[in-house]
Amino acid sequence: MRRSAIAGLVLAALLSACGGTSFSDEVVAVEAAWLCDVPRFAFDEAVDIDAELTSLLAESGVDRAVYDDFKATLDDDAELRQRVSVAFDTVCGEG
Amino acid sequence: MRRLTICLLLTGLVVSLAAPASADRPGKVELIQERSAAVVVGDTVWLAFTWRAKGDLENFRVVVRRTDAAEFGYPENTATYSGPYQSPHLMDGEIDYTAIQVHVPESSKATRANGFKLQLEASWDGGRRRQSSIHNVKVPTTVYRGTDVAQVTDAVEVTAGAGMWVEVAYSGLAPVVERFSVVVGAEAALPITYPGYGSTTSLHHDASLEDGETDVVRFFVDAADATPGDYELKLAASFARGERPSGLDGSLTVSVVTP
Repeated sequence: MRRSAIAGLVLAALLSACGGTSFSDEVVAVEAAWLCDVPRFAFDEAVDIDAELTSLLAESGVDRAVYDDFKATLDDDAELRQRVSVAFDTVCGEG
Repeated sequence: MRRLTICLLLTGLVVSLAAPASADRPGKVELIQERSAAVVVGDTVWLAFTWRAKGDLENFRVVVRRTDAAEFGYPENTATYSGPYQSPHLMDGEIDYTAIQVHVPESSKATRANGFKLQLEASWDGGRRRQSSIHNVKVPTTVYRGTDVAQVTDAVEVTAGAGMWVEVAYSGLAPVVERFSVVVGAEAALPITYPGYGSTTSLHHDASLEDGETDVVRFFVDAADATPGDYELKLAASFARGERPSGLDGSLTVSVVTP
């Protein structure tokens, strides 16, 4: 507990100094909409799922490289996951 | 750039020092949707299932536990299970999907029940051992009721005084038809020969035609003694949707032209 608390304080200071994550609300909104939409479709091929995502990103003006970076960041960024979760519940409704 | 790198390294170090909590908590996962997209009976599709983690779920995997109404497959890169989109982990609060290939045979019980229950087993490393949970999802099914196949080619040219193999293309509209064959009406004004001197002709690639697939049947039209002009041949295609026999009657205009 003590170790976690100290680590939390150091982490907060670091994030503050580094400016935290910089992903826009737009990327978060696109991810939330995608996660809400994707179960509603049946895809002929596995690659069609990614093709659909690519189309959605293009329509939304989100660069693919930015999106991939965003996804890679999620594992280590609890705040970013929380933003997606809140956006998802707004778009999709709870449960 | 140098500052960013240092920040990232320090942040990673701090996060890793604070990490052992995940080893102490088993974690849980919620399957967000209660039903999937619908599957047309006879079709093979990929369905996505969306999950939300409660706790850090490392090496998160999903397999089909049980169903007697369909056949299943997993992505090529994992082969025996399905995992999240990019990372093998599903961290606390994270939402992501796993994809599973589903094939509903024409003979499936789901044909009559308008769907079936799919039991998924999610498993992950959490606490001090591998954790798992069972989740049920309804997979609705629907039956394709439109035209099964379409004849694409309706006219060909053959040189008078000779003969040639002609190709007639068909496209699949239903999820899949099998045992596809074609015969030309016996009253044909031009002599017809089938491949291998058989009594029917079938598709070039194989005897099945899937939704969106186009393939051709071939037969030899002998115009050695024919005078130039148009001749209409009756074509009868026969095939099966599951166990149900079906067919499509059509015609082909053969224009015998002067060399």
